[in-house]
Amino acid sequence: MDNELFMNTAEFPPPPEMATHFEPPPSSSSAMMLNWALMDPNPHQDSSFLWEKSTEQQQQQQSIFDSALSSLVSSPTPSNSNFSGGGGDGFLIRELIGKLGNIGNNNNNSGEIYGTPMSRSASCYATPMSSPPPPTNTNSQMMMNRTTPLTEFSADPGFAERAARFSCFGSRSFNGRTNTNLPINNGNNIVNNSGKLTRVSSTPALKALISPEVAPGGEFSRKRKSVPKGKSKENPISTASPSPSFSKTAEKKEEWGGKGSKSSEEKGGKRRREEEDEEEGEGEGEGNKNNNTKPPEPPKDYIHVRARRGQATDSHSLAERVRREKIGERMKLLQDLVPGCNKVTGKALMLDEIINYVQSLQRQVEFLSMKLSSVNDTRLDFNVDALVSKDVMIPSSNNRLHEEGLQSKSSSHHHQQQQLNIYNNNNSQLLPNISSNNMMLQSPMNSLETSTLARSFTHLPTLTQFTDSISQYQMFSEEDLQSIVGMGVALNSNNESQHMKIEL
Amino acid sequence: MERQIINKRKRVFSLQPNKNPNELFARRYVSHLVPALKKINMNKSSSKTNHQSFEKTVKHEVDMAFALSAQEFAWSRFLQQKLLSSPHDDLISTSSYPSEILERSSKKQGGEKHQDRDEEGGEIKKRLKELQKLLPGGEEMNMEEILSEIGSYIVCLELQMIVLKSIVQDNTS
Repeated sequence: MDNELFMNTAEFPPPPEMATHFEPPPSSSSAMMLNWALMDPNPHQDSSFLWEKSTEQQQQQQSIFDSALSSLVSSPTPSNSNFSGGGGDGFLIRELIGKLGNIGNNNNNSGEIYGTPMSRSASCYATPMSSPPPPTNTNSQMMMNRTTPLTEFSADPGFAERAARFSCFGSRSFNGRTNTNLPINNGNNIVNNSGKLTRVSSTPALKALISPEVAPGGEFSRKRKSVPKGKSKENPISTASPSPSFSKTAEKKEEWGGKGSKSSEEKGGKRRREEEDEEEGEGEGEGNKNNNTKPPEPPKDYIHVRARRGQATDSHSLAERVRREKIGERMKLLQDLVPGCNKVTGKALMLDEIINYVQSLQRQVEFLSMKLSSVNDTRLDFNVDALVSKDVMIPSSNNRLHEEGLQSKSSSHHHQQQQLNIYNNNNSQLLPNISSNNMMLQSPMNSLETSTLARSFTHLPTLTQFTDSISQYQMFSEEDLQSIVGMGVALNSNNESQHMKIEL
Repeated sequence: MERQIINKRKRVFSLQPNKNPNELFARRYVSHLVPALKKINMNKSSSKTNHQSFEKTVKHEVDMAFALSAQEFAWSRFLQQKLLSSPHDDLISTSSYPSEILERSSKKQGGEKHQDRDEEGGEIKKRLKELQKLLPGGEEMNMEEILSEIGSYIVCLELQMIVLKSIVQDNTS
């Protein structure tokens, strides 16, 4: 890296602001020259060859800089005003010397740096602007004055800063280092980390700090964690820990957040780390993947779960417990989706309800598609815009298409008015938010009136008017059932409460 | 703003249609399905196919539009694969439903000899298996995935039903 810096600094033009930067006190001037030299990486033709030779070997560069610095330091200030922005090597040399002097001062090598004779500097200054000094002479002179190793010399203003920072960090970890927001190399990492800062609970962060040092014996179980569920309602928990070293913390923040709160609330003795396998691909919003930035730590994510007091603390049971909690959360979400699950308790029954509901939905879709095919026979024009505009009742999350209780024993119809629920004799409820007719294929009444198919079909569209009376709906319900029968779907008129059987 | 029905046929349209995922799905679905149906109709008028195959084709298109409109979910990808691989099979076979239901009900009434928890776990597993069959791609998911995918599947089915109903209604009136 030092070589690169040398290369960069070797090729810079002497801008006019050099005169302004150069000041009597050598340290400050050197510092400013240091900055200036770094800021202009543009190649300078005149001096490039001078430095090219010097950059062949680092020590040569250092020696050159040594001598240049010494000459610059010893030379008086006002001579700089003589030089315009046209550039001479003298300026370059002076700046480099300035840098050298700065660092050399820090390193207590001033004696050597200042030891160079005045003559060279005078020669540097005396050199006319137009003609660069002969490279061989300067090189030879500089090479003679190889003095300080200047290992840390990089002609980089930030380098000294970084060096200082590095020195203050022990061998402990990168954790400490990243706290200081090193801009150059770790800026990206820190940005990444800070982005994830808010989403990790405090206890895991502490664990993460300790984790590199704690030997992960048999206690830790690790699994990979992945994208959070799109529908998860858990909020991420902002962390209290300032440490950005979250390489061990879960990326799946939402699900994790819920667990983090639980874990922090639990009393516990031991600390555990877990990753959990979760599904991917619910890209409805979150696409967070696991990223870790600390090089020494493995790129894995963990959910830190604390064992409850008095409970088993081995990794398997903990993992099992976390898994069960996740499943429980999902079941709750499903409970909101599926109608009638609120009254049901227990996983098995709820799953039953869910299965029934999904089956009924699928059957309805099939029925509708068949109806669509029959409609297609007759009519061909589809107006997409009209469809979308008339696509009423795209429900919000609160509305549900379903009927309450699949146990209802009669078909139901829907119309456009949003909150209208019509109860027919069999206590079925209309779906409040459906505009079009719904041929709910509930298990029908035992007695089906006979009616013609055509008549029943023609009656269907008129059901969309909310002014229809209840009796009409009842009548239509039966007729619709007839129509369904007419279409080749035999309704099973058994009295099983929850099941509709359609045989095609 | 959501679409609301105020009076008989007055509607308020959403100002931000893209933000409502339900509406997004509905629009996508319609945009997929309607051209497909038009195409089917054109083809049908040209060649004489029997009603059954026509129905199958329509069903296929319906399912395909369904799968394409909900690409964020894993089940939609599975559904797409199935559709592409076997274009003319009925994906949702109604004949299997009664058997599943009967099976489940009979097992419910079976003797409970084991511990409650085991029994419950076993029953849950049975139901999960059935759920797996219902959900496209459910065979390859574990329990957690199924539960999370089922939610989105249910919502999309409902939306699909709305769209189909409105299509049917528009064309029967």
